[in-house]
Amino acid sequence: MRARIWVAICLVSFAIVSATPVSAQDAVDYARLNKSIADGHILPRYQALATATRDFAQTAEGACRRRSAESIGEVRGGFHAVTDRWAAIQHIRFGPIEDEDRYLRIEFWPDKKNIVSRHLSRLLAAQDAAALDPKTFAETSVAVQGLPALERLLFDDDAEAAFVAKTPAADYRCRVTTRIAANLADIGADMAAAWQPNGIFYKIFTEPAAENPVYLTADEATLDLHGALLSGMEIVRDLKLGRPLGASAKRARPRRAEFWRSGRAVRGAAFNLKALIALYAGDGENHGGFREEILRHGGGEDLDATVYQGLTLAADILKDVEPDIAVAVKDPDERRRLLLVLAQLDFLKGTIRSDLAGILGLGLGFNATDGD
Amino acid sequence: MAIDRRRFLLSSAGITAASCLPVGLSWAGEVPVGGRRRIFGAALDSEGRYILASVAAGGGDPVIVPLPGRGHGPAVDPTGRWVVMLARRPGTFMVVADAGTGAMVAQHISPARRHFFGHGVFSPDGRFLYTTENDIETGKGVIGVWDMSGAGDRVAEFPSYGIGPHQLVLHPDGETLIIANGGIETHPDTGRRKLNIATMQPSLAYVDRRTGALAEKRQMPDELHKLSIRHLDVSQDGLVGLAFQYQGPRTDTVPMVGFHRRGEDIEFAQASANILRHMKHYCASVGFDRSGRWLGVTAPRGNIATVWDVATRTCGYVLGVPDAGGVVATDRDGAFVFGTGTGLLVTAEIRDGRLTETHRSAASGFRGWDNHLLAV
Repeated sequence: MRARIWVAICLVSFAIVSATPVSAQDAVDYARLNKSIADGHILPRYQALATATRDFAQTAEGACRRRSAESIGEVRGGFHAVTDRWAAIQHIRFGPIEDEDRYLRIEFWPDKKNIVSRHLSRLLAAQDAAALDPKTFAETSVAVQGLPALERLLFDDDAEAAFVAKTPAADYRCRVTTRIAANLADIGADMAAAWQPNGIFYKIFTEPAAENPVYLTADEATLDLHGALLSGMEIVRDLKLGRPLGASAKRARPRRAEFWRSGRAVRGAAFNLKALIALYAGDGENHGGFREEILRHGGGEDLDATVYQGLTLAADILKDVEPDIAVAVKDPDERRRLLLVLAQLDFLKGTIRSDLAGILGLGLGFNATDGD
Repeated sequence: MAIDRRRFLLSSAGITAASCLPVGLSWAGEVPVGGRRRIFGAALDSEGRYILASVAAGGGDPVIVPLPGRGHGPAVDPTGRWVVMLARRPGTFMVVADAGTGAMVAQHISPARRHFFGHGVFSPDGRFLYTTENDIETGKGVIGVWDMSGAGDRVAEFPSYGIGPHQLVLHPDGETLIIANGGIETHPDTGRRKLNIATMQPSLAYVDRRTGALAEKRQMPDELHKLSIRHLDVSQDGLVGLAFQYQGPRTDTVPMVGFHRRGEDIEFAQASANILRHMKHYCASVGFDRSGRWLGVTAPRGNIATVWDVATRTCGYVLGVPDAGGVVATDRDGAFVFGTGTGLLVTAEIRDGRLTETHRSAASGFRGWDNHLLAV
């Protein structure tokens, strides 16, 4: 059965209802806001990811030639560098990240059925050189293409022995590592290119128009930025911290945490929060983020204080949490700190969903945002 | 990828994004659903509480039943006596109300290790209610069978033959359930998060309501495996209208509406790239009009309601309706009532080659209608 996609001309005219600010404030300059965040927040972060993945691909290539105990340390360092940069832009889930399953190819998680391990074992067992052809690999299971697969290759109990062994299996394993790294570098470069000022998505994002494929008006693009802030918080709260924490110390599940093998579950969440603060308050002096716009409106100062201090407080508490998630979710004091972070994010969620959206005049329709 | 992302640029259909909706709302006016007594829907009251609301066709204040959580799809028994409101996923409640007065008469909860997906449908004799549910442990879709003739016992269940069953309707043969398996796996532990977008496989299943046996199943073609089938309606002659929600990149141009008839492939309806773009990859509700010649589909992200010509399988008309959710047929050909998240009931009909708004009413006491409406 083939899909028949029709793009026919159908002459129909209709009125478009666009959102208007709920408070009678000065008009929100959506276009300016979108451009400042694209230029000052999104593009530099994708560029940093592209650079980190490119460097990492070179490191992995070199280390796999030597295959010494020191060289696995270099690869592990590169893994952390890439994953830090990823956590710093992970909250943006629209744009080129949506294309070609890139998000899941970078990080297939949560993975409650452990598909990553299953597919990775299958790949390693086959020792099929053809599977590592760049094009073939980019189209293979998303579960083996990303950071979770790399993490297993580098941090599983047998990782070091498997790295230094001089066997065909170990050789193939290292080639899988280099292929994942090179594939991530390709993905990183493509996304950074799409967000360049002459890139395909940058134009879509900053030049809304009737014939724009995604954004008819600038406020629709702002709505995606607002959604990134909101869902970024929800993911930290629900998935990254909430799920491993469980209802009690007894029911804590540290292996539900993100990247627990490499011990970076807490660090990942901290990087996410830092990125969300930057999206809200701005990256550097020229790029205002949401804050600059919020402060232009009546009542904006109070709202700004709530959001900025709330996010900062959550990030500060998280800084003091024991980095080993297995300990953090069991220890009563650490649990208390984590619960404070969750409560703080929970409170902020309501403020960002209603008050921040309200002051920005973003129409978050009851049905439009339902998802059912 | 089969979907050409550049094709949209070639299309420049004549959409005028200029005029807006007429202003001036009337309070608690008559709801012109001729031949029907009452309109039901899940809603949000003025305090932000979730309710089952109903408005009498003759007007007056709405009748309100507080709900334990957010409701989703209403169902009515064929005698028109009872209306059931099911919890939105991953909710577990079912509230039964008197269709004449709107008052609550009973409440049930889903069995352990199951939650509702928000839709149900009655058997032709009104005895059994079939509900779409999630088997929480396996993530597989289940149809729950409830005996509503007595205490509302849960009497049986069978597979939905897919993941994430959402809406289901009864074929005019009275024996076959038609189930939209959205294809998206979710788990209560992760709230409403989608767990399997990369591998999702939506399907349409025809299942014998007595035996639970699968009679026919249609899957989306591979290149559209992220096009979730969520909502559907069936006409008197067995034509199924399908409304989609796309989980892929927002730059893709994909069909939003389809049709299906037993024994045939799923057929995708045509619309201009501009209309598809305004639908924003997301349909809320779908319903045939009285004649079965027109299919109403709401697209709240685009603030539009659309009407599709069944004969030509094309999008015929578009009307600006803010946060459009539910759709029900009236007793006139080519006419629908659309519910909005802003609390309106907007009546529109095809007149002189246009979809024209003929009436709107705003019921007092609540903020907005949720995704689906039902006229009794």
